[in-house]
Amino acid sequence: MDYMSIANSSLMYILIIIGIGFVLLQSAMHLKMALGRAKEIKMDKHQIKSTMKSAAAFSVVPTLPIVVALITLIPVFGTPWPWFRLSVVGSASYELMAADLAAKGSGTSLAEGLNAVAFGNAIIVMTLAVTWTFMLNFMIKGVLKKVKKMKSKSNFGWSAILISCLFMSLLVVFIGPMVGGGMVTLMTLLVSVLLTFLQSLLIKYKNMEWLKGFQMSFSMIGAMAFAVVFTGML
Amino acid sequence: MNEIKRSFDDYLNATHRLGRTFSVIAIVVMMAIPLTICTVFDIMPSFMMVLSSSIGLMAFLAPATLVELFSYTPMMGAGGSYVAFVTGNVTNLKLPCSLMCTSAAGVEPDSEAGEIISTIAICISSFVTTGIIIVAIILIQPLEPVLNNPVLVPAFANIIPALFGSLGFSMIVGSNVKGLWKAALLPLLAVIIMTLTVGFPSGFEGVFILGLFPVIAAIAKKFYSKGMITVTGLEEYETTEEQAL
Repeated sequence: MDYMSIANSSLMYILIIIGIGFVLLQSAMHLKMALGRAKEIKMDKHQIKSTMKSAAAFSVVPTLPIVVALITLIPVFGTPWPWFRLSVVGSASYELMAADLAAKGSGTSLAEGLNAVAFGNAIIVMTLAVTWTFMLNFMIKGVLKKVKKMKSKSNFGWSAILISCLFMSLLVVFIGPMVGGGMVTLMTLLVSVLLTFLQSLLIKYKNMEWLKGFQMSFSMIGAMAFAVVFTGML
Repeated sequence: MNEIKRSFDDYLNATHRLGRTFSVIAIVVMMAIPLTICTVFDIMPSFMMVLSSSIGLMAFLAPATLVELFSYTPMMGAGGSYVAFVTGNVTNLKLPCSLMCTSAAGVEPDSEAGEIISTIAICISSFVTTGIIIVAIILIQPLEPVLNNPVLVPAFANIIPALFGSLGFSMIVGSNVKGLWKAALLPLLAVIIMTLTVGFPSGFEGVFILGLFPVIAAIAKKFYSKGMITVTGLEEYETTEEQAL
């Protein structure tokens, strides 16, 4: 049997819809719990609504590369499987690497093309290698307790600095390679900073509060458009 | 008058219970899909075939996930972390989304308000991503030539600098810790030199975050004692503390 007819079978679609439904259920349960708690401690409703709008607006642009990855993976795995993998943990590079390893384990490779057993091996390996790491989620409580303990030993000022140091490490690790990563990357980074700064001025001096929720999305779109223009100029 | 019946710890414990339960169910649900397909279509690979193909990947992913867990959990909080680590796209989507929303709301990520805002942000982000992917599946035919257009390649290749430029600015300017960037200058320079000379090992960001954290914290401690780094809202906090006493 051709593996593509298995990959695009009705059963595959049904199982994938159940899987994605489960992931949405998890998000819905956590969201319900957080909204309930926000109401319980009387958090500002406007702040909650604004968070929801900002999060939704922000998430659109970074999702577009995932759609591109989806288009890349569909010719190899059919439609439902990449749809599922990219809706839960997974990225195009990981999926292709895992699939190639699985294909080689079955005596073929992605370049040579998959057969039905290689496809079966690939979907098991791609899932197994990543899902078992969910067991590590049992450590989240311990990690947060350690952070809380560390903070309680410090005074307010120092504990605020300590958490900010973690943000700063994140920025250094991501921004450092961009600064040393070529002119287009560096310029895109700087344009994004500039656009965010300009929007902050509009929010502050022109009272454009609504812009707050879209500030990062607009900066990203502007910087990405700049990258296209700048690359064309080089 | 409605009184707050549960403490923050009670809420957190409930979040951990929910997160852990879903983590276990996620393993069962996700593994059931390929196993059902392989059984029904009679394409089950041998145990040895699966083991030999997956062992290297598992060994590679375990430390990477562990490091991400230690680095990102304090920034995303409990509820957000459980959702993010199952739905994926942590560094390019869920973590920045959480940081942007907590920063915009003016709350600390490890406070109760921060925990709630981060959870809401990550859950909404997860819904939006799933929704967009569903729309893309429906519109795959007309979308393919647009998104695969060579003109747009530099845009998608530079999405991370576009994201971190804005995020970095918001986090530095919006933070109540002023001047912390001074403590990051030297480590930043080291990372830039490393990128230019031997190259930065992509995929090891989590390890570097954990490694640089104590270095930046040590420099920050020195600068804080010299008054080069200040924290706003300190007087307000001390007044509240005195009133509480």
